[in-house]
Amino acid sequence: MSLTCEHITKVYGGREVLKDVSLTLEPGKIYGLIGRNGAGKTTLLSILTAQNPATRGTVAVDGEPVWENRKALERLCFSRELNVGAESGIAAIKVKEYLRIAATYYAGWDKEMEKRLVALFELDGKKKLGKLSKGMLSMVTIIVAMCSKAPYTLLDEPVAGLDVVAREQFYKLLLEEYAATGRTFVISTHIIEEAADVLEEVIILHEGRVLLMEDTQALLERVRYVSGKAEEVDAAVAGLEVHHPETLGRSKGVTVFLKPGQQVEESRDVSVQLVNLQKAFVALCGEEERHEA
Amino acid sequence: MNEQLTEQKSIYLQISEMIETDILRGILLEEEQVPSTNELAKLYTINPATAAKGINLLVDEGILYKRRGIGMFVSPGARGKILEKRRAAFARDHIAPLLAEAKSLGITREELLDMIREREL
Amino acid sequence: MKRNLRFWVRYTWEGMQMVLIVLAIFLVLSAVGASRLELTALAAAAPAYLLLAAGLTTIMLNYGTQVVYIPLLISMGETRRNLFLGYHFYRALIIAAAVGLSALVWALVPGEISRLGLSNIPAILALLVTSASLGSIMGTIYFKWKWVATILLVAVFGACGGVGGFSIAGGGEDVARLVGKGAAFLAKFPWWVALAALLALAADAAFHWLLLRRQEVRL
Repeated sequence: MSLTCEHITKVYGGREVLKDVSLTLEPGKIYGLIGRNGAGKTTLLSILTAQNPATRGTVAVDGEPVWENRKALERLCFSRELNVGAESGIAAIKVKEYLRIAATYYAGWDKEMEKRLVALFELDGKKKLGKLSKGMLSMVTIIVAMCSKAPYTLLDEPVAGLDVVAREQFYKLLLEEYAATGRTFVISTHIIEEAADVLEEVIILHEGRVLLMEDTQALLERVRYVSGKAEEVDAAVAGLEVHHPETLGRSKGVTVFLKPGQQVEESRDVSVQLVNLQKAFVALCGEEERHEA
Repeated sequence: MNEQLTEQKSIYLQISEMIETDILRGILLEEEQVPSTNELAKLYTINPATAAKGINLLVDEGILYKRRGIGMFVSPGARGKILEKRRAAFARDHIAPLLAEAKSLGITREELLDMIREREL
Repeated sequence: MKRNLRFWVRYTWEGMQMVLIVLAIFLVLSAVGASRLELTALAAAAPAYLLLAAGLTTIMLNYGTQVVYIPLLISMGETRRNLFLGYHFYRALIIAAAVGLSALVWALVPGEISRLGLSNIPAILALLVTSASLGSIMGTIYFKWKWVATILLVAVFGACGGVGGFSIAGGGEDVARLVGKGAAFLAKFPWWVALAALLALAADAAFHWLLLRRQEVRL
């Protein structure tokens, strides 16, 4: 029982967007997929749900291959981010019609929930998708994801364009639905810090590769920000995995990722702080080169 | 149960400490039910697994106990246990940083003791 | 597949609404153009307009379907195979409905036109399948490589216009005689018309399926 992909590679016009990605997503968890723009998040989610073909590699859900397999696809929902421009074909579709088509195709569609959420988000069903703001389009994708009732539900940037109140509403809704059903959710997002506490596991995708996949809280427990006088800091983190050093005059700050049994040298006169997921992410995927101290 | 979460401590530890503090302050009474994992998850917008980890920590310490099919309850004698635990941790959590800061400021042992004496408890 | 069929039947109904609107426009135009209103003649002519409207609709709708519905439905978890079948089912349904309705009207309204129409049903069917398939191939090309399709469209329409202009300027044949010739040709229903229809359909299906297999969803 899992959503699994093995050795997924995707090539677009000679460029490898995904490089040998293998993942196992277990049922009953909320996963976060984070990565910089162009890291391959949307491509990965599309391939996991057979919306785009992979150049190489296989995807299976609960043991069934997903490609051209209606039975497997019924267990999945990938509610795409809607970028409805003037060029977009779906711009002329009304919200009501879009939801009606979704209701036709998703076997477990929850009509009651649809009504409740349309009212909660104050969406006008008669409006065309092309006339909606980015935030309203996100609400439509959230409604499709929630009402599909698919055991594995994937959301791409579900909070893009939502104001802070609506974002909070979304996370509460997600937790409520998760508590009630135990469905698996995968959420890709740029607004990392708000989502961090909701995500049981985090998957960091960087330049087409899975850099890290770990229990979010366990990850945060092993990351430290060490700062102080440069020599003291260097001595304190000697032999540790150091990322993203920043210096200002004599002072220096580094982010360290501890391995089991490791710790920051306590006798040194340095400040040792915990970091949040966003800072850990920037330390891993930021511009600066990584080096071993 | 309505404190804010901070970044500088693991969330599950903060959850368990908040429940402890509520028990110390008489907000949660012995033999009373504590909020469920899902209620805590929704209140703090955190993953239920994290909330459960915080609660399980208290179960392991005998501060909470589980009634099958109903939920988690405050154990009899929980308040005493928490007091004892916090007292034991007082020196490490509060005295040690106090001494370290005094040392880096050049405050002597006698000066420090005087400062404490001047204050009322 | 049941859900998929439900969608396409509904979509066919929406497509038929378009056919009926085009038909209504044709009928109004011809009623206004006629010197005196003769209901029987109009009724006997209506199927011709219906078939023309259905032909135009099936030629046009491919592109819209590929741009809007196929990616949308893939994104909602339908297989490419089912969508391929659904699309061809929907097109067949429109053609069948138009031909069936025409045959019914001609059977009910007596007269020379009706007799001619009824005897030409197989040929009409073949022509509709051919035009729909060629239109669909064009739509697929347009969807995938816009500039190639634009060049093709200009070339095809240019050639048609040129040939048409030459024949009218040179031969001086009037439209009525051309229609008469066309009807006579249809009545013969040469074997290669049927073959062309089958080939066009096969080419359309193969081309569509090949591209559908590789289609990427972008909404």
